[in-house]
Amino acid sequence: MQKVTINMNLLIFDYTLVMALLGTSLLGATAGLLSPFVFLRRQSLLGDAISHAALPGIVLACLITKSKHPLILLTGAAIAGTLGTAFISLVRHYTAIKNDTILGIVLSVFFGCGLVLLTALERYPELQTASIQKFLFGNAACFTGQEIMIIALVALVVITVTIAAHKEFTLSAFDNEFGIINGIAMQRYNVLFTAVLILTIIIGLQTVGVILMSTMLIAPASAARQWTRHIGSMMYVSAGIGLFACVCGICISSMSIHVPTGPVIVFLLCCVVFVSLLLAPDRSIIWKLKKS
Amino acid sequence: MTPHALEIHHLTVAYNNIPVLLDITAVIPRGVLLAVIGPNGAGKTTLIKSIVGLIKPLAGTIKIQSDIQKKSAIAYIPQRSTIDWDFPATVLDVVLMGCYASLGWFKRPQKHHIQYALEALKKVTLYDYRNRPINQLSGGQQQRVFLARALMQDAPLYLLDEPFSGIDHASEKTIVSQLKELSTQGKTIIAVHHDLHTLPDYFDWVLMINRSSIACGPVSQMFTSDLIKIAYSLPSAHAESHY
Repeated sequence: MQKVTINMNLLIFDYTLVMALLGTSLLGATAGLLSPFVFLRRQSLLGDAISHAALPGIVLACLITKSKHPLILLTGAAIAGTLGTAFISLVRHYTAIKNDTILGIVLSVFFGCGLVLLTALERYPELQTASIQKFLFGNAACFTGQEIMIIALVALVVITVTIAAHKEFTLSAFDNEFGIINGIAMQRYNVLFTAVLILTIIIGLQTVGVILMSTMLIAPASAARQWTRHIGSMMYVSAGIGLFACVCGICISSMSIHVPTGPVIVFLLCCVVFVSLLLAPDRSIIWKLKKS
Repeated sequence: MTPHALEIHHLTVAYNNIPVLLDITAVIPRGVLLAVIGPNGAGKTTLIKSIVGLIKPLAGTIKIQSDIQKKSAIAYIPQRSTIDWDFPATVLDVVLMGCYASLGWFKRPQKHHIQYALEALKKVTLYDYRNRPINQLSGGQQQRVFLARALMQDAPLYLLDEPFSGIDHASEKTIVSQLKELSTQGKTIIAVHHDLHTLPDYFDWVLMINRSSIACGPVSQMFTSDLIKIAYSLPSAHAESHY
């Protein structure tokens, strides 16, 4: 009888681990694949602003529907993220305020609203504020089948679009004006890119949380750029780095229940960036010192 | 629609309601090599960007020759300083961007595109550099890469913004010879130019601007010291126009 119980525990543990590995691997590969374009378009802060802007959307969706269904919460996050991006575009278009200032304002205002709304959520004990607060730092250890389905579907869309439109995304990052003059609808591709960026951020919220999500979009490309000299190879090396950090992060995190997955993944990514900056041929600090 | 390469009538362009170009008028025939000259802040880059459609004019019209109202009708070479040259791309990658407009989703450049790109690189003497990352190029080589990308487009109208700025003598000679070659093929070249000494050797037409147009015509008639003095010394509003 005791033997059976142990086997059941192993099975449950394996199921949780497999789900966590599956969810975070998909996120790591997707964010890693998109990361070079965020990096080359110098939109690192935009990713940060969108992820922070998603928090009030999650809390409002929960408050309005009184539901914690992942699809509802992530839809709320997507709407708030889109509104934040639209607000950034409008302010940029109609005012003379500099880009970094707008992004800073949107990031703090939306995130502040999210925290205030979280306090309001505490009035409803049945909604268990803790389950919403996991979006702050992420928690991949408790993925449900539904959440994995959503992540897989979104990852499939983002990866397909990124591979399909990588020429246009490349042109947009390198020489957007050249594309416009050549009759390519660059504005549409820029909107499409922002859409896939928002989608990627949304699926990353449960894993690494709103605060650390931007690292998933910056670090893989920062490291990959050190080792590659071609955008195509940079995309795949970056996706590999994202995948590697997520898988290792989950494994380390699963060894100790007190270590949250998000910060572990981000820490691992930062280690890869550090090693790349230090050792990569041609571009690293040591290489340059050796040359000089 | 116009039989000329380009007709600009009463063009006014403003940034945040502050006029940068005022009442520019110029008629440019096909097949000429035209230099756009004027002092710093005269609006030369703004004029080029208005012609290619990157800036919407406040008033006036720009007509481009009738048979080039299609995609890739204009080959545009921007200022080198506007580009991130640390971008992860090789010389061949950048030249192949010239064919992106003819490719759809998922499609990569085909063999004939690569062949055409390599031929363009041979013309600007960069064939041996085809696999070199662009961050390892000199200023002159970077400019020649952009010229090769423009050649890929096989456009009837070429617009260049300061193509000779900060480049080596050999690159300058290569670019000039290619531009002259294009001109003999009936292509129209419009380039922002700074060096007044080399202008008569490189170009056969000149457009002088200083916020408004000062003169436009063949170098032999319009490139006179009097008009140059007007373009570079006097406020445009009081200058007398010559066409």
